[in-house]
Parts: sequence; C-alpha cells; structure tokens
Amino acid sequence: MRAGDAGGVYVAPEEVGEPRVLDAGERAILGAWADRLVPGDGTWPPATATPVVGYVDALMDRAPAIVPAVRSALAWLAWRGFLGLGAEAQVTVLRELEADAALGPVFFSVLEMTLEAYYRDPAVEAVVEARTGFSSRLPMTGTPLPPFDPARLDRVRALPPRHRPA
Amino acid sequence: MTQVADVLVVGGGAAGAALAWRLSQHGADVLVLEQGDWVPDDDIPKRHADWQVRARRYWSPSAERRGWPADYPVRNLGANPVDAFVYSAVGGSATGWGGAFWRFLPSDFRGATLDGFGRDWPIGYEDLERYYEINEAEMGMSGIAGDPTAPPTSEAPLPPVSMGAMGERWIDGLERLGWYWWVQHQAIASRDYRGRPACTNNGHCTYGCPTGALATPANTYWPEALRNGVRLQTGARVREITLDTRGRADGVLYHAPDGSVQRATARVVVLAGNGLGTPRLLLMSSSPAFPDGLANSSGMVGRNLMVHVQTTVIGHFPERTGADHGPWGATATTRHFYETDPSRDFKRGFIITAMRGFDALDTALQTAGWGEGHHAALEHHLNHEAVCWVCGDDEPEPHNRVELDHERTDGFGLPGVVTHYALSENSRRIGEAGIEKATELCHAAGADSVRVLGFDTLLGWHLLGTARMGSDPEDSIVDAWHRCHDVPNLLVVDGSVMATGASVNPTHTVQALALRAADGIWERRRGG
Repeated sequence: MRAGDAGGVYVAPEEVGEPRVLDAGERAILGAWADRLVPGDGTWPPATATPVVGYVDALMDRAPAIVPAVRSALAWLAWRGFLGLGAEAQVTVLRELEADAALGPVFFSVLEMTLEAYYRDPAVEAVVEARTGFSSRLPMTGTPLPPFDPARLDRVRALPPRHRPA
Repeated sequence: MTQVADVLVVGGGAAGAALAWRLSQHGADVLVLEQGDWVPDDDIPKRHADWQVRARRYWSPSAERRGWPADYPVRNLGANPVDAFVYSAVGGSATGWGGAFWRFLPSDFRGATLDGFGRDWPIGYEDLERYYEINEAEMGMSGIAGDPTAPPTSEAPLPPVSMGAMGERWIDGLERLGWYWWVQHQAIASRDYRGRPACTNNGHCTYGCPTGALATPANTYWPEALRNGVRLQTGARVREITLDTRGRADGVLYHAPDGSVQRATARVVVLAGNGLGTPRLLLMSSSPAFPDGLANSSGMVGRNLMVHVQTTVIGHFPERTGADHGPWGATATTRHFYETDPSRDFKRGFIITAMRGFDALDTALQTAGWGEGHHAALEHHLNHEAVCWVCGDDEPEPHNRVELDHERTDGFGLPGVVTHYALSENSRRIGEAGIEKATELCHAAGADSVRVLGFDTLLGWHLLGTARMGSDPEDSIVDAWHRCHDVPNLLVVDGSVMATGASVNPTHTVQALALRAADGIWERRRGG
C-alpha cells in the first residue's frame, strides 16, 4: 500500500469532528498545503472552506498506520518554513515534496484525501453541478430516459452472419 | 460439530449461487461455505450522498485496498501486473459489477482447432446453450435477439436498457463507421422483473445498485436457493480440502469467524472460489499424495492465468456526456473485430463496449492536476468524457500464474496469493488494434480528443484459466464435467476452468457452466 494511504478506511462526514491526532501547528501546515492543492477563486471555494483538515485527521485517527508517513511530510514542510512562504514559493516546495522519492507517495495520499473531502462537500457539489452539469444526486435518485428504439438496429440486423461455426 | 451434506460448495459467488440453486431445484442437500458475508443494503455506496468517496474506500474492488475481514492478501507482479479485483462476499465479485452479460461464441471453444490459439475446450457452445437461456431468465437479462455476430437465440427476457443521449451518440458513431454492433446485453432489469424494480438509470453501476435493478447473485439465485433449503454459512474460511483413504475428497476444514477450526463433509465437494481463490485452496491442500497441491499432478494449478486484454480509450466531447446517469456498462458493443482475421497480425480479436463518463472525484484524480489549473481542468473533462472499453482474448500461457504468498497471510495465518502476468506479443497487438479502433469510434461519435489508459497495469475484473478444463490430465485440471482428473468427486466450477477466455465479460458463461455442472452432479448422484 502506498505510504499514507488509508486504503479501505472510511470516515463519514458526520464523523469529522474535533482533531485527535494533529496538533495546531501540523493542522496549520496541512491547511496551507491543501489550499495550494485546491486553491479557490471567485467561483470555486478553496480546500479549507471544506473540512479537509478534520477529514485527514479523522482518517489518521481511524488508520494509525498512516500517521508516521503523513507526519513526516508535515515535518518536512515545517523544516522548509512552509507557512512563512508566499504562494509561489509554497508551490515550489510542494513540487519538491511531490518529486521526493520517499515522500512523494505521501504527497499523493494527502492529495487524494484532500480531493475526497473537497468534492463531497455539499457547497462544492453545488458548484460542480453549476459549472459542469454533473449532479452527484442523480446517481442516488435516478434519471428518466426514453426506451431504446429497436429500429436503430435495422441496418445491422440485415447484415450477413459474422460469427464462425465451430 | 461436523456439518454433513450431499454436496459441499466452497464459495457463494456467481458460480456457487447458480450451482446451489440448480441443485436445490433437483432436491439435493447442499451446504455452501462462503468466507465473506451478506453485503448490507446500507453499505451500497450509491445509497449515500458521498458515494464517490465510499466507492474508493470500503467498496474498492481491490482486496488489497479494501481490506474486508474476509479478504486475503493479493500481490500482483510481472511485466504487466494485474490489478486483481475480487469481492469476498455472498455474491462474490458480482457484488461490485456492471452486469455485462454476453454469451461466448462457438469459435471461443475451438481456439486451437480454428486459430492455433490456446486449447480447445472439451465442450462446445451447444453444450451451454440451454444453460445460457436459463441463466438469462434467472438473472433477468435485458437485450434483444437477432445479433448477426452470434448464433440465433430466443428473445431476451427483457428489452434493452435505456441509451440516453450518450448512447445515441455512440450508436451514431458505430453507424457512421458501418461496423457490426449490438445493444449491450445486461443483467439489469429494464422493466419490473420478479420482484426487482426497473432500472432508474442511476449510473455508475459498479458502485452498487441502490434499487436492486442490477442483478447480483444475492438478489437472484440466493433467495430462491435458500427457500429451497440450501444451507449457506457465511464467515467460513476454508483452509483445506480433505481426502479419505481412497484419495477421494470427503470434506473441508474451515475457520469459523471465532477462529475455531470446523469440519464439513460431503459426497461431492465443489470449489467455486474464482480464478484466484480456487487455485489458492488447491495449492493450500497439499498432502503426501499431492505434494504440489491437490489435483495438481499436471502442475497446471494456478497456471494459464487469463485476465483479458483490457484497456480504455476515453473520448472527450464538446457536448456534455450525461456522466451522471444511465447504466454504466451499457450502451452498445461492437464485435466487428471479434473473430480471427487473417489480414491482421494477431490471432483472435476483441470487443469495444461504448460506455459512459466518470464521476467528479474520479475525474479530478485522473485529469485535474493540483494547483491553479485544477478547476479549469476539471471543468474541461467532467461530464465531457465517455469511455470505450476494449476487451481482447489473451492466450493461456503457463508463465502467467497464481502462486501462494507465504510472506503475506490472512487473518487466520493462511497464505495470500501472488499473481504474475505479462502480455504476450499477440495480446499486445490485440491491445494496439483495440486502442486504434476505439479511438476511431470516439472520433466517429464526435470526440475531439482521446486519452488512453494503456497497459502498465491491467484491469483485473476477469480472472480465468487457473484450473482449466481439458481432456488431457497431463495438461488440465478438470474434465468436461468439471471433475478433477486426480480427484473425481472434487469439482471446480468457476472462471478458473476456462480453457480460453473469449473476448467478452465472463460471468454469464461462468454461471451457465455452473448450471450445467449442477445437472451433471445430479445425474451422476447414484454413481457417487
């Protein structure tokens, strides 16, 4: 399993609550990291407008095996003075982290957790639907569609057999 | 306490359920041991607003990622490692599936004779024809008869599922190309059927069907089998098949959920553990009489793993693709390139199934890099893509195999499995041709660009061939009636018996084989 990957461990939105694993400093770094991964603009909220930090913390609580890996990446960013950097410099540091042989897999795991928390947030789902037309609700509720018209098969039906006898 | 039955089945998935149901119709006394459990309705991801996250986490088809209590470790190695997808549950790997439901074709059973490809099966299409028909009725198949790329059939029990605008677009493309194509046959109720409601086009079917319109063994064969008296024991992890003094199978030893070792005995033992689980159990059941694994005098147990030459070509369309609705595995499939064509540089062929688009989270992870451009990339791809899935025939090769992994064990200390797989040159050429033709179809349907999944890691939905059927005991594991050459009252009834794998989704054929095997067991019952 990839470093930092909580695998099949699942945390429901209502289970994301008070932090249990990360201290305040670590949470601050994680939040800044997440906002560089998914920055906001006038239309899209930034990552930390959603419970990203709490979600990662809750997954770490539920899957303790990932704690050392995530913590090591956060410590690496702290060592680089991540919070004191401007946005552009933070991106440069994250590119280094992503390319690092040991910590690169953790980077992807944090990216995955960030996108999970972000795209299941109701406010983000609303923006997704407004901007792309993709509704996260329809796969739960269904969509009426007209039945298939068998006349669409008329040309093919008239073709000669194509399978080989055995 | 020892449980006793006439027929003991290991595995309650697609094959085990169909076989148990058929035997129960005859009145046989059947006990099924399933290592997993029933999947609660509430676990179905699409019953919940955050279905996209749930689908990636506890519903993942990869046992390695999912980590359910009944899962055993699976490690995948080789030049083209297989991302092996299996579910340990009542319903087996048809728990998280799309319901594609094609029959094999007559030529699929005669690859060696017709094409010098693989091995001929000791049975043919005609042996399975009536069982295909039974299975289509029991699972509730939607489709339509008259496909000129296949032998004539009775009309499908249910009309085709709805296409939607994306389906119509794919069909327009297929018509422009002038290819043979047909509506996708699906084990999805397009109308209310035997207590299952009509499909409401929720889409993303592999993430579980919230209505039950998608057939699974758990909502088709199992309810009636249980009413007929089949005993199903869940949470039963079989560790060994045992033999009597004559060398015949007499039962199994299994772990109950509390870890205790229990015993079950029967006159006939059937393995239905799929292309990984079945060779695993045979190899675990070694003894002085079978030092290399039970029923393995040929050395072929675990060998000849086939997974199909699977990849996807994903078309990008200027228009929205309706990625939030419509049965995911439908719409249309072309078998235009199915049979061997001497003008091409490979044997056998492939299908292309035109499908739908990915969800928001998957699209973000696949296409939208992090940083400032993330949302622009998401908006470009999401709801503007649809998938062409390529599935080609891969030749059985002994070096593609399943072995025990003693370094990684399950919760009871039993070995996991490791798969080794490398595409052959023929498979590579099939794959390249499949990608070329799928790209052609995308553009004919209006795509302005494509992206291709490739073959670095192979999609592992179909795990076949690892205890193959054949006439020669030195080259195969089971005979035409699924009986192990070495242990005649031990049967293997799942995808691992396939001598070749054809180029279509195998579940329909797996179940047809199981129904036929059940009749064989019943007809031979007096002979033991």
